[in-house]
Amino acid sequence: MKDQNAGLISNPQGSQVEDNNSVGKSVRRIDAVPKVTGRAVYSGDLHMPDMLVGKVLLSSQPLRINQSIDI
Amino acid sequence: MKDNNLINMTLKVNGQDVSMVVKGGRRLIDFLRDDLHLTGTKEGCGEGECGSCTVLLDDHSVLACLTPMERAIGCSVVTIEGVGTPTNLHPVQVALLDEGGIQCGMCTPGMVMSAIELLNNNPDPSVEEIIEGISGNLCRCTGYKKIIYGIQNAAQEMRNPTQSAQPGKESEK
Repeated sequence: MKDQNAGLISNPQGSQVEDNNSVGKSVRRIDAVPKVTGRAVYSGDLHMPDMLVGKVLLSSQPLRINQSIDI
Repeated sequence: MKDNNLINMTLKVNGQDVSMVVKGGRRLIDFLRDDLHLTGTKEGCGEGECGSCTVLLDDHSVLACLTPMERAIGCSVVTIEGVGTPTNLHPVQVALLDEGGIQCGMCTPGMVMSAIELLNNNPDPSVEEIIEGISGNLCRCTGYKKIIYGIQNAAQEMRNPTQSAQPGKESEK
């Protein structure tokens, strides 16, 4: 299994990693609970009334210069 | 686009009865995200490659980007919002948290849904069966190993629940 060394690694001074707050320990990401429950809001999840939406329109031709745009 | 294409969406979503008149002819993911504002279901590719939009439709995993919304009428849909809450997480969610199987989080909702379907059908999967179970879900961050370890741990936890199972430590942001 994993983490078999957790708590067993000792430093030269003889103290064990379990004395530390973070080093050598498995720490949950601070944003992991919202992510794993689907509650984290990504930019694509934002919705505002009358929101303007921008899109990128790339040229279909390489190395050309747009001389005019007609939407 | 025709605006007169209204349909009555009557179904169960995350255990709750839903009945609303909305524009039809769209995908299930559009209904979930745009009409119900359940944005936990992610659209990665929109063409069935990545699995991030996986939801359960009558206990079977489907890709919400390839499923017509009308297909869900009369059915029961479960999304990531219906799986666990920050204070009452599903064992799969706890295991992914503790194994570090979550990085950017874009694949996570779909990954959780696929893992739950796998474990519902196979409570003691081998590593190969886990890999097959999540083969429809792409993850660009983790390299899959921690997700696989997590699902192994979740399977064990679901077969033999321990007292030390930790609910969510962090509160909802």
